Amino acid sequence: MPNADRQKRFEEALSPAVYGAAWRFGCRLADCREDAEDLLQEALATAFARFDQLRDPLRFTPWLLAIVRRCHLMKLRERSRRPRQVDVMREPVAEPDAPGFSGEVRAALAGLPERQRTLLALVYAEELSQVEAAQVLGVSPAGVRMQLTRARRALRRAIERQWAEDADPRSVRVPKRGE
Amino acid sequence: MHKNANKPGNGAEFNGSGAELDARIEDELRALPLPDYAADPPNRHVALAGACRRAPRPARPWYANRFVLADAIVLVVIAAAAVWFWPHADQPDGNGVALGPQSAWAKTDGYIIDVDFIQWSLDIENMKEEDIQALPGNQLHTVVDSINTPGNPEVLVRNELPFSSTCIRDGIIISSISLMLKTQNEELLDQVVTALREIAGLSAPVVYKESLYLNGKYPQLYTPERKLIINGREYHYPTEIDAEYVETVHNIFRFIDRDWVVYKTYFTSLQKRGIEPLVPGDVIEIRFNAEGDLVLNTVVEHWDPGVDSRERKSVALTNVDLAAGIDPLELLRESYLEDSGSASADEETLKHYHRAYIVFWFIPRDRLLAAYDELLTTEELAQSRADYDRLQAVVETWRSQHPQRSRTDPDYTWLRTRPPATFGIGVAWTEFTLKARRENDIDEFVQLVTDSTGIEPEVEKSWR
Repeated sequence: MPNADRQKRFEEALSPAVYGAAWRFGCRLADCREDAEDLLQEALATAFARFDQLRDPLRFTPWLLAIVRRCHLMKLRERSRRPRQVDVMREPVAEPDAPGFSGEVRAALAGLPERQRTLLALVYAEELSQVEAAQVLGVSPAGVRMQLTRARRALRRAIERQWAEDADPRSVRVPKRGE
Repeated sequence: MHKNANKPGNGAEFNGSGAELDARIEDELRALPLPDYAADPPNRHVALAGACRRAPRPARPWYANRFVLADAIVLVVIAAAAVWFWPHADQPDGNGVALGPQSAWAKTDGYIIDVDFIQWSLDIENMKEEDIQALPGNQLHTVVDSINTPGNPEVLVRNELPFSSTCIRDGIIISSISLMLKTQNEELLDQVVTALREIAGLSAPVVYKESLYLNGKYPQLYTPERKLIINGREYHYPTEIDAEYVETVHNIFRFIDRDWVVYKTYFTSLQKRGIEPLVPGDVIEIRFNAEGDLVLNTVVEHWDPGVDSRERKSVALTNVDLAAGIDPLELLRESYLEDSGSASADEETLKHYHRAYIVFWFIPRDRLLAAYDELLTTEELAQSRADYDRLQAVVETWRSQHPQRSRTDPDYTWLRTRPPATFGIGVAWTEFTLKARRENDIDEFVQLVTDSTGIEPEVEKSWR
């Protein structure tokens, strides 16, 4: 049974470590547990359906993460096409702010484009190599290096802008590049 | 030294150079926290099984994609030819409906008309085939035909939603049919709504100006995004509920929409999946999409464990069932015997048994009809909530003074409310239903609500 064989190979490839990485990545992308579960389930179903198209089994992890990201983007597109729905009986829940510098980084990160945000999460939080991150994002390693530089710069500027707005402008000096 | 030593949030923790700032940012990125639930991933084996079950077909070999490409090229050529010869293709077809891309049918925006036809006081003892044909749901086709004339090719009304049904219980028949009307013509829309109101009677059609639903079936009915949540416990597709979940969700939707209609199907399909039978007070919620911002929920209120409706042969009949000769009177008799505990019931008793005054009260559907083309503002939502709270207080008062009584009781009263739900574009609504055998009860209730809320109710009071 070719299907049974594919299922067996897929299960072997999807080790607990890879599964955990996909789940964590989904949690970073999605807004809540329910969405993260949906995302993971959708990505796994897609990955299994296309598993035979994966030529290099060693690239399974970035390949799977790329699918997770693609599914996430599809959901975002679907969401943007839908009218906003409201529930009159549900009170909005305020998210607690992270304290100190972490909170500033998170706030600045939230303001970055999706691609830069994902790249920073892959490289720093998920500790993927730049080559693997390039596979996830579907760009060349050189492209990832360039985007990473831009993303870091954008993040730093956003944090500095935040500081400049919060502090007395006369006492603020934003460090120049290379300082 | 970095001068930003005293800024909020940062405090005196950072006093370094730009390079040190970069390093600090990178450290923070490495330590980016995950949400709490990330530490508890879904069961891997279950997720694997679900993924493999959902994708039973092997992936296409690479050369198959070339055939797909070839197919696409052929289709493009055909489409180009169709556009080239367009003036001929845009003529109305045999039914008088233009199907070309220049007709309204091909436009992306349009309207949904949701119609609940409610037929009361049906003479079930003498119902014949012609009676069935006279049901409002069947009259709908007359309206559709009158719209789709060759001289009026800009309109196409389609009844393709999956839960059209004609159901019977206690001598009441409900037909629920939803239409899709593709037109940009607001006057025409008004005409259609007016015509539908005339045959639908009390239940005003609800109009959704929305292109989303026109792209396929009713709101993503068959996608894994839809979730079933009972008492806060989510039954997740497809890891916990197999492919038949689709059917279950469909039935639950009908359960919520026509709550008494699908008892048997609903409960048995849940039970088959190991979900505990519902009891009064249970909260059912369906999340229509992954965002969770389109929610229908309801509370099981009138499930009487002492009356095992789950064992009924059937509580829902389709037109086909009726035409096939299934006797609705027998169903009614069965229902009466269960409720009353009697050993037998003659037809006169049955007639009395299902008669009651009925009030339907939809809040605030008028408001939603007026605002269907824009989202409700925060103030309007607050108003809706205040309306609901006031109505709920009235209901509590009424219930304390008028305990629910059995239908076999001469002083039978039965009041049902539903939690407010949103549907369509920013629509907030709820409904109240009161059945009572004494007309005074109805008057009292209507007066109470009107005095307390100042809202003009949409009321039908009639002896059934």
